Amino acid sequence: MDKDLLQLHRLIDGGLSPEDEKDIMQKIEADPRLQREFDGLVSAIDLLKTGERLPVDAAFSSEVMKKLPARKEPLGRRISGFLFGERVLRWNIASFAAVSAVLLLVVVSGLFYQSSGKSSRVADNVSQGSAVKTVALSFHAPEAKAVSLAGDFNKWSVEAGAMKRNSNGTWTIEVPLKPGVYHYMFVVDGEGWVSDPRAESYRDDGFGNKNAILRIDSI
Amino acid sequence: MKKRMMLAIFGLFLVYGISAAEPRDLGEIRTAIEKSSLPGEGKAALFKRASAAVGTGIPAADVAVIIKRGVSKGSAGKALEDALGAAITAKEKGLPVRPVLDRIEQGLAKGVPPERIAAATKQLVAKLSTADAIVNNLGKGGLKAGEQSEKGPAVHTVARALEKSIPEDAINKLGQKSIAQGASLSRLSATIDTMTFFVEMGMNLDRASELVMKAMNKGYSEGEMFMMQKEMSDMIRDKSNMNDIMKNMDMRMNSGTMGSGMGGKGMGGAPTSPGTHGMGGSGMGGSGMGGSGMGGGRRH
Repeated sequence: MDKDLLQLHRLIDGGLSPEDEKDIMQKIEADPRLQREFDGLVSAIDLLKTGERLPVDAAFSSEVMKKLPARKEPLGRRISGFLFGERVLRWNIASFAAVSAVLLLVVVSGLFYQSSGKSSRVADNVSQGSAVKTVALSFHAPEAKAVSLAGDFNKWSVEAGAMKRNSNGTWTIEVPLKPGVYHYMFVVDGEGWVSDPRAESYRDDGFGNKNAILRIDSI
Repeated sequence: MKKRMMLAIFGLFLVYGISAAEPRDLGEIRTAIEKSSLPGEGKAALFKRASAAVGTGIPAADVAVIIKRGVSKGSAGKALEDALGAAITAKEKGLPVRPVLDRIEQGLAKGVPPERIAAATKQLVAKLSTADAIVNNLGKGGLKAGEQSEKGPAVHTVARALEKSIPEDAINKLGQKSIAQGASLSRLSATIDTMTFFVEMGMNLDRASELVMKAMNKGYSEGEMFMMQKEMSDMIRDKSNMNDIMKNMDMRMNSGTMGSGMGGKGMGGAPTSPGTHGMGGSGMGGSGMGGSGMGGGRRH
């Protein structure tokens, strides 16, 4: 494209200074070739202004791009494009409902998983069958209002191992334990820590008390 | 359309996956700290330390127990931070962390002042570190390593012995004997554990060392070592004095009757049902160890 033609296009686009505008107008009047080009462009603009505007699909550009021959790009750029490329998502009620249903399902299943955490751990023990032994422990404390078993197997929880009182004042509990060596104590009325007077062995707890020792042998 | 839907679903699963990967206990930890009466700065520092503990690989469930138990008992945040800091040190040094967590959880449950728990925990970590070096040296000296899972309990047993002021020499002596016998790390661990138990019960270190050395010479298994502890517990319950106990154990080892029971000396511990550990009439305030019984349990 020669310089005059370029100036003519700039004139149509309205991008010339008054001096350049005056200069090109003189050239158009003098040159029939420029005159024809100018008239053609003006007619095209008029035609576009008066013509009917057809609505274009929002996905028109992407549809056109899809039909263009695929460009071979490096894998890294393709991954980067997949992850960071801008996308237009078209929503409608059906897709919103579908996504909401999936979201609801995911949240409900998550809550169910969390709430069933403890029972599944118990189930694990049961499924291991022979590996776990049920151990019965008892403690005679007729005047106690509550007795519980706390040990390293329940992270020394005072609440977890509540024992049951028999009519003769003996408190009992059964605990499933895998083979190993366990440390424990009885907790009387929520605060009195008492070592099992009939334990097989004892260990200092690091604070001046003696924990009872329970050893479970594998079969 | 299908692709976009798939993309949206994938995105949702991704978000859920990321949120599920974050330990849920961390949320409980945050809530417990927020609800505590600690000052704002204290809350932030404690949560930071708890997160660091979880970040090093300490089970979030244990950190949650420690924090919840600690703040519910009104423990000072700084002491809890120190205790968790000791656990982090143990984890970072590759030492067994379970005994450290157990000591903190246990101390808090028993109402031990948190400053004392922090001090006891730091001391335990120091002893574990020394014990780890002892066990490693014995391994280099030819001690059968056994399974990797045996090392942690062995290190803990040696640390416990060190806490009871049993000198390294005495431990190494048993280690050298084990090497000479081709014994395993777990058997050495049982031997050290038994020696420590004897010392804890009031036996002289030399006599305790002599007894377990004799047991090693006789080829006692881990189970038989534990049986020695059980026999000693029975004799203490029977109010025998330490001299009699030592003579009795020596005699039983010589005659090969260790573990055959007290010979009708009134221990009465019949199992409550097959395969169970029976209490057989233990009494409150009776002949329990260390004054156990109603009101006999030590309170802090």
